[in-house]
Amino acid sequence: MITAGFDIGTRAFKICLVEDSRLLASACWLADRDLGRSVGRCYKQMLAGLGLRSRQVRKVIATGYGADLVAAAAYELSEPACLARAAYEMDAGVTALIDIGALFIRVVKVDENGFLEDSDVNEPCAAGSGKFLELVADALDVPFEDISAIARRSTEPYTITSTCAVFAESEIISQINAGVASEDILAGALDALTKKVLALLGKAGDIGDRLMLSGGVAKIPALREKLAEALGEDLVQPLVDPQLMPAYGAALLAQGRARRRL
Amino acid sequence: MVVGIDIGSLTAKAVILNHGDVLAAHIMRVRPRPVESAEAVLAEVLNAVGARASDIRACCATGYGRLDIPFATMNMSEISCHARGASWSDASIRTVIDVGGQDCKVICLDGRGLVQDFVMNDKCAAGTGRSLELLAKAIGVELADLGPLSLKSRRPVAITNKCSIFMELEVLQHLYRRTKLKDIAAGINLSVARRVAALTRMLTLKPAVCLTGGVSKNIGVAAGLEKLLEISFKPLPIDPQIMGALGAAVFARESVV
Repeated sequence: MITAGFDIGTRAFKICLVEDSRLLASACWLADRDLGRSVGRCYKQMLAGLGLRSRQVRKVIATGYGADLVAAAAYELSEPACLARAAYEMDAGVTALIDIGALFIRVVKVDENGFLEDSDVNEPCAAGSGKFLELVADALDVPFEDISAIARRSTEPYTITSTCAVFAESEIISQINAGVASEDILAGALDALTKKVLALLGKAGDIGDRLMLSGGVAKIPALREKLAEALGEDLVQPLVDPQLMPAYGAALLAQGRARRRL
Repeated sequence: MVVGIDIGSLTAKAVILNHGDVLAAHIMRVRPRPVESAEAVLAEVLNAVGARASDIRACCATGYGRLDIPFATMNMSEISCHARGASWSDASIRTVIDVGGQDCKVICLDGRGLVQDFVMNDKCAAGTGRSLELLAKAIGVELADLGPLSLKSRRPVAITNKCSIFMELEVLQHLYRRTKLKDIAAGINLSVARRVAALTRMLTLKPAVCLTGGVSKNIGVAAGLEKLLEISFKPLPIDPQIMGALGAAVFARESVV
């Protein structure tokens, strides 16, 4: 049976098509002004690529900030529920998952049966967020995939003093003009992000000892390293692209429910 | 002849005073270094009156770049300069609400234009010009058009977030849902007005109240603030965006007479 999961995030939207628990196809597109239509177009292209008709997809579940834009969805589920499901599918021993998206950082606790136990999300302030890291990388003209390699070269990370992401961007532009090295600024931005994650983890309480890291920002190896170092333990890597976790989880949840219906 | 220069986060302003008259004033976008902005804006006002740098008897600098200007003979804080400028323009002013590019301040002054109390937000971009700029860009509207456009709205959208970047997201959500631009524009202006009003409520407002700084030129924010605070702003006879530079010029003049 084929099901689909849509995750409409703040910066990108992701779609996963799943057959039983196997990932058939996935897509990740940047959100644009015409988001509703782009989501529809992307889905159509995916179906065409697999030679599927839309009615062959038995159930669609949407999650994420813009979940209500998905016309094909049977219903919407929260990101933590989808994340917990995807994490359990990959590693039944995972106790908690840290998902770092563009604006939201989530800590999702998973119980031994793979159900969502509890979740926390950051305050709605962009200081130290993935979006902030993007603003910094843009100001430095560093593409996303190079952030890690460049930040690793830093010997003296620059400590960002602005408490607001918008102001931090101008602070960084003046630091670039003042001659501070790109690697030190990037490493400083990664430090700010790490600090934000740790603050949230502090709020979340007991998160167990097997942690998985996901989300688009988790694709930066240098950030993984900084977090692992701060937590003193290795972080489990998802078996799919870490950015696809909520969409994959949504598609898996669609499987369960659809099956029960039959 | 004396000069006041205000190097803000987004714009640089200069005012030339001569025997108590404003001879020239200029506003321009800042250059990367404060000293470049200061030199450029000074050249503009000197040109406008056909004067040379040697004709200037005193120059007072203010704004965040005020310490980096070698040709300034003195410098004063922005708070003092805004108070002085507003009071010089209209002696009845007792409260100045200044909404600039990167900060927002509310200043209470006495009858002589001296600062009695003030509050300031320079920690968060919400409630400043930067927030307006960011949100105007998100909906593809020129900053200058945001005010007039918002006045046409009868149903402003609600923007509930306090962080500018989260507000941007909310604004985009409205775009996705094809909400009318004028209603989004009105929502944006109100969101800034609400933040400024929250800061303002930390002090007791004494009339007359004036609104200064670049954001005062956005008629939507100004009208929203008047409604939220249940007051009317006293219009100033001089461009409200140059109050800081004007106050600096007044201080420069006092230093030589």
